[in-house]
Amino acid sequence: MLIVVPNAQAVKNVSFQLLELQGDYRYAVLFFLSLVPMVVGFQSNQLRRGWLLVGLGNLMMILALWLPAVAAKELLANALDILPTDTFVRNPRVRPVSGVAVGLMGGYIVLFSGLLDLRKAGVSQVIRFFAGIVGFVGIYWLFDSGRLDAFSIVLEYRVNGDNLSNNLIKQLTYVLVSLITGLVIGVGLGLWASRQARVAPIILYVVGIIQTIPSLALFGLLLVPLSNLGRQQIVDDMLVYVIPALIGVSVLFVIVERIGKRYLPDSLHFGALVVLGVGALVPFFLSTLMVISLLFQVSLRMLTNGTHSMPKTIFLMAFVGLFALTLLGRRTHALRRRPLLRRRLRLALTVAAFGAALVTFALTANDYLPTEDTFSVWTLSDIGIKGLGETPSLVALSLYSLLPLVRNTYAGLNNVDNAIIDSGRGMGMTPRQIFFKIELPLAFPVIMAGVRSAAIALVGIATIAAVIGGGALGEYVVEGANRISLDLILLGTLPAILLAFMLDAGLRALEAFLTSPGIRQQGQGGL
Amino acid sequence: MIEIRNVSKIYPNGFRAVDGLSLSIPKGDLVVFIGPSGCGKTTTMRMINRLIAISTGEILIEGRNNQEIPAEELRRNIGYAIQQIGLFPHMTVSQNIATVPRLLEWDEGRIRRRVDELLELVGLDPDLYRDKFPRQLSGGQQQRVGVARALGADPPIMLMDEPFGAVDPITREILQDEFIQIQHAVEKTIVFVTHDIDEAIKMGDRIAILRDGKLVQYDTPETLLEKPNGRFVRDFVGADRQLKRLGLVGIRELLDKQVVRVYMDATAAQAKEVMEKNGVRSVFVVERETDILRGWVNKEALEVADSLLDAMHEAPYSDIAVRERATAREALSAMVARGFRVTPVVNREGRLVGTIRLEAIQELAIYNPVVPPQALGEATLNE
Repeated sequence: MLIVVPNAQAVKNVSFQLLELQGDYRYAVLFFLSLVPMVVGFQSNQLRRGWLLVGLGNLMMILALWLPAVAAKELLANALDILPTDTFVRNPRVRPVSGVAVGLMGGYIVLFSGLLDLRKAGVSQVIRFFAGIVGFVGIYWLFDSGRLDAFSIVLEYRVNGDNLSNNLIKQLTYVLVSLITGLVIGVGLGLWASRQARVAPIILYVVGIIQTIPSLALFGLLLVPLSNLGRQQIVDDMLVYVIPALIGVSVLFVIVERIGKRYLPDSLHFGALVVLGVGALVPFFLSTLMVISLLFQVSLRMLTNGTHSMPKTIFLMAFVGLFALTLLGRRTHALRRRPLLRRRLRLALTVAAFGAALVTFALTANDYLPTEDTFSVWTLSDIGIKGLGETPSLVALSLYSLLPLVRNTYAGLNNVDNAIIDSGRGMGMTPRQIFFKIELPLAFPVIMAGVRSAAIALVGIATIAAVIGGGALGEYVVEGANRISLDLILLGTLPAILLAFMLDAGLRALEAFLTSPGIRQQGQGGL
Repeated sequence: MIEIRNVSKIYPNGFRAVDGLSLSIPKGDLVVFIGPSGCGKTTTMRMINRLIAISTGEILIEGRNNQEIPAEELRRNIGYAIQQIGLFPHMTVSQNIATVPRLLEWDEGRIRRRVDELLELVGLDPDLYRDKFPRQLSGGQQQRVGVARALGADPPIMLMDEPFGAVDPITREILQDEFIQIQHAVEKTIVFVTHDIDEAIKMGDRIAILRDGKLVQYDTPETLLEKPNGRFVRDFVGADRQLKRLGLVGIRELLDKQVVRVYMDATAAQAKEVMEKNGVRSVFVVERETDILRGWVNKEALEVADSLLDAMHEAPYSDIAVRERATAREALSAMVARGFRVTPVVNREGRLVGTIRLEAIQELAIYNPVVPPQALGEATLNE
């Protein structure tokens, strides 16, 4: 259950079972505790069973970490006696292995089944939320108070983790920026595919192909063009060329699409559209590149070294208020009876949050971007477009997010019942009203499912960015792999897993918040 | 008033879904389009609100060519209900019903009042159903909401494509009856598409029978049943068209209001006296104060019994009588089922209001020779 390791790289080690530790039967408690849920299962009162299971689960999760930690501390105190005499001892550590993980997981399963019971028994969401996080808060307290310091990964955090929170934020920024990019492009493509049966297979095919390119190969391919591009000056070379080209091609596209439909033969019309679409790719790609690169740089600065704390605080407060309102509003009668008040409050909070976020973003961008006269000598590499580092990572991540987004948008829009659209049309809705009032709300859960799977995948893929100097959590993984340090790899991996979990939970909450109760699936909404 | 003038729908592959159709729909009438599938009935209906473009010909609505009105504006002024109902699942019942009023930008107070009014009209309690979502409703309730939504902005014209097609037969019957009541109250000009001839006869002021995109016959239900022009229509209305015709006749005209009756508190001797005076072998028994039908008694039973109550066949009026609003067809059916030659007729509370004799219904059929000989000959020649 525990392995004593002399230093960060050591292969030699000594392993222990908890019950082996002489004369110490504290740890038997855990074993017996894990038997209790089976007995509790016979309790037929759902409410009582739920509370018992929740309590047990929380306790098990805490104890599964705490008891081994106590043992580990004792082991470490005698580390020099336990380890063979010829080993080099520096920062000796205890590595918890499968037993601890299984104990933690067992606790979580018990907790989760207890929460399910409570939900069926009709306990309010707020109470369930707080009951569910007791164990996690306990674990955080253990960690914070230094009681887990004997564990190898915690030790690694104390030694190498100064930058962990910054790297975590960077990882999150990678995911969010590329997700937003993917969302704009992916939903656009998905919409196009669902409207034009002829282009649908082409789009889905291309997006599928992108997914199969290995990310390392993509980095290699982007290296030369991006570093060449980085030398271009923003004002003279880019803005002068890209913006007129983009506008020109878009206008042409609309003209051909609208007028060509009437006057050109069908095949010629389609061909012209394809040619224009391909022609638009270059300016479109360049402008997107500039936008996402800038977005990333500014967001990262905004989130890490926030010099503008005022709007940031407003943003956080509004966000928390919104969250509380959603959580409370479901059950509280006072709010339910006055839906208008609730709607206004919600609107106000949303506007406040968005406003504050925008203000922070603008202020940060203002700090980041130079004044007009020096801006003219800036090259693209000054906003991060280089062969190595962040921009190629962002491009790769955005491309990888496309498949789930395009596919789900397409599927979601295509699956809207034709009878529903027909009745909307028959009642005199314009195509735009049909899209925003019918198709989009109905396809929303499917699109959000795509966003969630893309987000989770991106958290994983973003670790690869470190290979080309993009930083973030991947740094620990790459470094750990180079030094053959398992603990350092874990230091990068565990936060990534945690981040993926939290992103998923957050997106689920957002989805539940924005989906009409009329189409919400039973059993949705976490915890 | 809708005028369809020589309208055709020709698809790019040359298929003529509707072929030179002309008919006019009088204001306030419910006109049923009926025919086998592929006859062009739905296509014609959808050309009225331009969901399908007309190839040739024109459709005039209150004298205005419908091509001149912007499509969305045209549709907002024409109610639209379809078989699949097509309620918006993400909107509440009230949001669904308020769809067209919102498009027309009514103010919220007016919309709220209108929604409640419509929910009551279709028989749903506004307080219970306003905030429900479609998936929380039964099929029948969904159809009602569908109808309420079509009536949303009080349009003068309604298009209904098998609006009661998606529910079980019993619910459909109820919805049809309710809709007839609603139509009496609102008097819309309605185009009603169905493939069910019974529904057409029951609902329609006029019926247009279509076949292969052409109009075969356009008449009132009575005329259609009496004088079907040709074999297609005759087959389509079915071999039991005499019976169906009886379904169009209310029993009030056939009612014999001079009913011999005895009160429940009468003695056996009094009952016998009544029978002898009127020369009948049986009489109906009613309550004295309320006139509510309680059963009947016949002479043979009275001979052997001590009191009227012992001799009478007691039965609730719903088991032995027909309602005064029933059709001749329902009265006939009840008589056949119960083996009566005379059936009592009661009003809503169960009061005996009269009787109907089997002969009266037979006469109704005999005195209206249904197929004139020359029409029959013509039909035979056509085949």
